[in-house]
Amino acid sequence: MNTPSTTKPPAAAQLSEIDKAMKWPALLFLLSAVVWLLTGTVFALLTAVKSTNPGFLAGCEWLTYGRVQAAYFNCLIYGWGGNASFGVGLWILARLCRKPMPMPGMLLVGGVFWNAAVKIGVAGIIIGDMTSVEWLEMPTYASSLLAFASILLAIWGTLAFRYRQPGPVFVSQLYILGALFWFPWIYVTAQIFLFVDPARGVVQSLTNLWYAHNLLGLWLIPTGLSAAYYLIPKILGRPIHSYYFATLGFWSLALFTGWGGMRHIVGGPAPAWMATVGIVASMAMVLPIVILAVNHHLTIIGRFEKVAASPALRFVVFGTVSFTLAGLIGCVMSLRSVGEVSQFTLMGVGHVHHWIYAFFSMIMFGAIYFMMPRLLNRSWPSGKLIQGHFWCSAIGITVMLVALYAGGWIQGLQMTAIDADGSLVNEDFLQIVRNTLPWLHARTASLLILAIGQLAFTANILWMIFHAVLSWKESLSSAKSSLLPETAAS
Amino acid sequence: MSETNPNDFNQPDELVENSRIPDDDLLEAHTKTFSKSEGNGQGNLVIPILTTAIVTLILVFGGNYIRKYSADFNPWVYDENGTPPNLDPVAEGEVVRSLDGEKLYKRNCVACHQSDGKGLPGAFPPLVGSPWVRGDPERMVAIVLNGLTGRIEVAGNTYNSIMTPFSALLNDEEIAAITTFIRSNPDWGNNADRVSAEQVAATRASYERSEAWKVEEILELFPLE
Repeated sequence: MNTPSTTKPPAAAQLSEIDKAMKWPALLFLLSAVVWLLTGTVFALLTAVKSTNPGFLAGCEWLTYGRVQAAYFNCLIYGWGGNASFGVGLWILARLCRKPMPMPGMLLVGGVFWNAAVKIGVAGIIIGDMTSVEWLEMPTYASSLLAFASILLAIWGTLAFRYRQPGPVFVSQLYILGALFWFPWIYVTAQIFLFVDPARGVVQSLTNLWYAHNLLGLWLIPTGLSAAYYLIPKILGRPIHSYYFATLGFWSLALFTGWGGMRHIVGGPAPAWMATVGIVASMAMVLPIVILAVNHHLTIIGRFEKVAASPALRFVVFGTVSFTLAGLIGCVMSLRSVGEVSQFTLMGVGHVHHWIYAFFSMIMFGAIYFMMPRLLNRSWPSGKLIQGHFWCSAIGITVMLVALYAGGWIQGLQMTAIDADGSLVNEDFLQIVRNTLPWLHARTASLLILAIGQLAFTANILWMIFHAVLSWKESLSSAKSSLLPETAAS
Repeated sequence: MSETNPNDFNQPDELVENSRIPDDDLLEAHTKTFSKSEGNGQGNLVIPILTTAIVTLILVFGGNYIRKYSADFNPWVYDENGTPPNLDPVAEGEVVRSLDGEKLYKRNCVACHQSDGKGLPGAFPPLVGSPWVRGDPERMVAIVLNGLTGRIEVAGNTYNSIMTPFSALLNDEEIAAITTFIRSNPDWGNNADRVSAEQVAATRASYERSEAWKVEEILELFPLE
């Protein structure tokens, strides 16, 4: 499989009209996403090394821990997550609307603005203009641009849906429209409550928790689910197992997610009922999780040989299994008795990575493996690189999750342990911090494994684009020499 | 559309990911599950049972959990550990009194009676082991409220000074807290009944006066036991 495919695609393999209209916007989003993924990984490695060796690059003001950590998450969420979710989501939306979409230029403008905003934002973080609010660190001069771009893209998505070819609606469309609507809503609301007209005191933290929870739950998670709902039946040629309940899954997720953020304030300085309602909402997430688990896993059952052979499905199935696991772990962690131990430890970081990497990113990788051959009308150059990407990602993220969950739980037990008199068992806080060192080293190792996988992914994409450009030039020159009109293959 | 041909690319699955179903068929196949005539396919039994069970569990758990931990949605209750606040006003008074008695004593009484409650020999009488503070609570409350002048004998020593009236300085709860602290302090050898804010209010109402008590008046109204 290592031989690059230099054979020209057969004449019948022309791009569908829909894919043709979406080609340039989708390529813009996907390629930007990959660049941001790699940038984020560089910052992630810096963050990881600095958390075990604080002296590393300590002299450089621009690369202090606080800044690279914030830059890492902003690259990962807005750079990689945003671009991937727009690229994959809007492409699926356009396909399911079954009509070549007008105004692809609007998407290009939105994409350029979005990426400019993330660039300005990350640069602002690095030079020291960052805000103090988690996941909203981008300075306000970048965030307004980001909000504008997201609203533009949401308007395009809504118009595309409004003027779709009449007919049935698939649940993937609901998830994408939800994500397109929810992101501008939570982002603008958080900006207003935190920066434009700041709320006082504790309400600021509550707004931040609400935003961070919904950023995952109402933006990245719906996008990932929509791709899974689309790709699984598409590749298997088999309908979703219990599709009848898919819409119930969507609406219950929409209903419960928004309330769930307050579960993170157990023990914090906020009215007790807020955490209680958040915990109940988090537990209620069992309903959409079970519906999605049944729909995703039971559709796959008995088709494992297909999963093993398919580049996209491997990633998607890994992602859906991670969805079930991360969801159930989230339910358990929301309970007071567990949350009291797990909060403010590495477990929180682990859970975020469970969602962003093991679930969202894996499904996005799968979707990109499905999309790129259709956008460029050619096959992937190397199956080995795809396999390498999959195994590095699967092993890397598993190592990271085990390290962060186990290390965080032990850390939490040590911090909360009290003896019979009610005094702390471990009075030396620094010793508890030192005890997390092996787990943090494991995280650095896992990031290196992930980075190797991402490099394989990038190499494959560059190789593919290189061939696409070559054959485009070839067709151009042959068209000139034969004086025939250009074929539509490009 | 090229998608109708599943073997678009003439390449192994490993490299292009052929799709097995065109978008139109995908939508149609799933829409069918909603129509009654064709919707009794496989799997439609698993989820109804699961869904009903899960929704029931969520309602039971959520209802109980909110009842137990929401503190009646009181915005001032921050206690996460699940002890519902005692919102009964009488009980609230008790809590305040037992908490504040010692602090109030230190703030108002130690100048004369000293922090050990033994007073100053020859100047201020002791509260430790004093029959004046035990027994009928009304006597002690009346003295704290209105003050006391004249020659007084406590535990074999005679004192002749002035007790400040506190009726304008402390409210009923505070006086109840102080007197309870003094009367029931085991370190001082006292174990008399607690005093409630209602008792103080009643005493305040029945003995309203502008002058301090004389020792004889007090002894006449409330003889030492």
